[in-house]
Amino acid sequence: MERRIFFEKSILAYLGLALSPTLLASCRKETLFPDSDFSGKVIIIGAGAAGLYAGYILKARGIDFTIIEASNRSGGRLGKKSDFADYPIDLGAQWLHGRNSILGDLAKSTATKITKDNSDSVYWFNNQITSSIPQDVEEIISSDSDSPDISFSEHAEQQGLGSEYKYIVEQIAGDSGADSSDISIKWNSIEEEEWNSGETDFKFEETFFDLIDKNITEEIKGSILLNTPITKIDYSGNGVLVSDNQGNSYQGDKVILTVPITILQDSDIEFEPALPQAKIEAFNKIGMGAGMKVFLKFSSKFYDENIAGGEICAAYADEIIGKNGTDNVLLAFVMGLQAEHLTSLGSDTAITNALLAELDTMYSGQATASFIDSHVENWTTNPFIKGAYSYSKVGIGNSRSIAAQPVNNKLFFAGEAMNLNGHHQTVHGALETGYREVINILTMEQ
Amino acid sequence: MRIVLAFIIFLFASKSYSQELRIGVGYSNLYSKQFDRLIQTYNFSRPFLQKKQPLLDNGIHVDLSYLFKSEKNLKSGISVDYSLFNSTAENPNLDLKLSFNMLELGYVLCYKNKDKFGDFYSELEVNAVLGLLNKKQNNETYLIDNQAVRSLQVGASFNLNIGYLVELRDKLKISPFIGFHYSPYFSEGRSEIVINQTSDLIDEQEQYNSFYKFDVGLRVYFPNKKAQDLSTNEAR
Repeated sequence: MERRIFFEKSILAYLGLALSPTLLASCRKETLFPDSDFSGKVIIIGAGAAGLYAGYILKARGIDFTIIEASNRSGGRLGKKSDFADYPIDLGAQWLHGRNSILGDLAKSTATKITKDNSDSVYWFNNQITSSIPQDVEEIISSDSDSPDISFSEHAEQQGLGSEYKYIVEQIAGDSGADSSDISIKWNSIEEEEWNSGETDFKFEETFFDLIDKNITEEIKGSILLNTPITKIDYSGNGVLVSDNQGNSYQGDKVILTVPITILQDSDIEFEPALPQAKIEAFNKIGMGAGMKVFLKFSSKFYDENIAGGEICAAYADEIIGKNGTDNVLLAFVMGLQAEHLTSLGSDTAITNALLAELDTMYSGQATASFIDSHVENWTTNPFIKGAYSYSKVGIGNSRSIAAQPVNNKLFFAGEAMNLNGHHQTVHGALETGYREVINILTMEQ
Repeated sequence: MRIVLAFIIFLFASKSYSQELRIGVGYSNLYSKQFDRLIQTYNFSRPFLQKKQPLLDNGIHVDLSYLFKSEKNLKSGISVDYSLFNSTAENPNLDLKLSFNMLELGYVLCYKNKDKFGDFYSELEVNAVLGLLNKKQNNETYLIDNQAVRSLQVGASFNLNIGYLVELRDKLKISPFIGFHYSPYFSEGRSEIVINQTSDLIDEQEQYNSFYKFDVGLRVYFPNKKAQDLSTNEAR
């Protein structure tokens, strides 16, 4: 071949090579919803993690929205108290459960200081503190999706765990926000198989509340309406009309409901027309038990980092782990029937005294002797929360999936209880449902 | 990995009995609806990241093929093709790099009819495909509970290549070519975990998907003269 012809052909060939990436790239879209022309208004009910994040995403998309919150602050089941110890404490969610999540990314990108919670556990077993127990209860309780649909306590009994393990089992159930007699070994196991954010727990040097408040709430605070409990949602017309307890109305095109499942179970919000019966039944099959956090401040640290198996409180945790401070604070993490029992005592003082009495038994009277102060955060008596977080009750089946289905392309359901990928009970799970429902709104408008 | 290594050793060891050994390099463009949607969702759900994650589309490839049969206008042989696609976004405190490695191993059938098409040739390939999606965060392999987060894909690919042969010297030939690959695959279902850090939130049926890959590149031919002479004599 002549050199001239060869060069001509080469130039033509390589012009083609150079242009092809540009041509191919121009065929691709980098957005999820190139054809979505939604320009309506979205009303978000509830300023918890799911509602705040839905608003944050809508703002990024330039879509009009308002978040309506029943209580006097945003954050939902996230909360913070700065004046109890020489470090801030989390009144609500406090552990980041694994870093492989949107919140792991947020914490990393904002250089938020988090620490692995590697604290050791001891057990209150046969009336003594011990670092190990004869049976591996965690292993016995963990099961697979082929298990029968029975409760943790029933399963424990079938596996031969005696009554001496009752409150160890209770501690494991309590970690899932449940009483051991209610939570399903089968469905809990099925949902845990979906879990992918990691098994390591992290604690915030500041608080979990701060991560959301400073980076999400701050961006959208002008669109949050506080002290506005919603009592009625009328979606019979073209749009949706939302009414509060003062008789004020708010007009929107779509509503994202992010309220706790208890609010839907108790029909605190009236729907016009009524929600489908299957959906109401699905709400009622999702569990949400009582829960409270009691912070006990002491002059000396006489306690272990984690104590499992108490009869009054099955899980105590040293609050100072991951914090930058010196005050000795022990957290009593009380769930299920234990939380109901303490609530029935009627006062914060009575609750504190009951816990001190138990700790005195465990640590030879040192609790009362070094007690300074306490703070009781009872999520069960909060009228806009009414519990801890959702769990998979015996018989739950696919109820979360039915509960989370949009209704008439107008009502969308988010919040930790509506998470379908194993991240219910968590803040990152709630966030995921927040943006999932924005995706649903935009997808349905395509 | 052992199979790949054995395959490459076989290619080189067999060169002395071969007609042609070809080595190609070039640009590849990948289209994976699944990856696109996951990256788009990742970007959509993280407004706090200033720089968006690019789609996993631009990459490079190298291929090595060995044509060992000759029948009139047809040659056939075996080939191995490796492609690498990267997507990198650098944000404050959070640099994310996604990489998709794709290895194709299979059989190639080459058709060249000088009388009809001059120096143009076409090829059909049928391959087994192995894909590996992984990610690095802040230049470190991304770990969950001390385990690297990866997603493996296994499938087949059907490729059509068209090229133009240019003889430079007595033995050495080069060939610019374009190729189109269609690759249905089965995934172990972890792509969503790797990219968007969720499972079943975006793709409920992510296990069966397909890639489309477009290649442009240049191949260099190293013909074996002995074998070529022999085949020419046989043809006479």
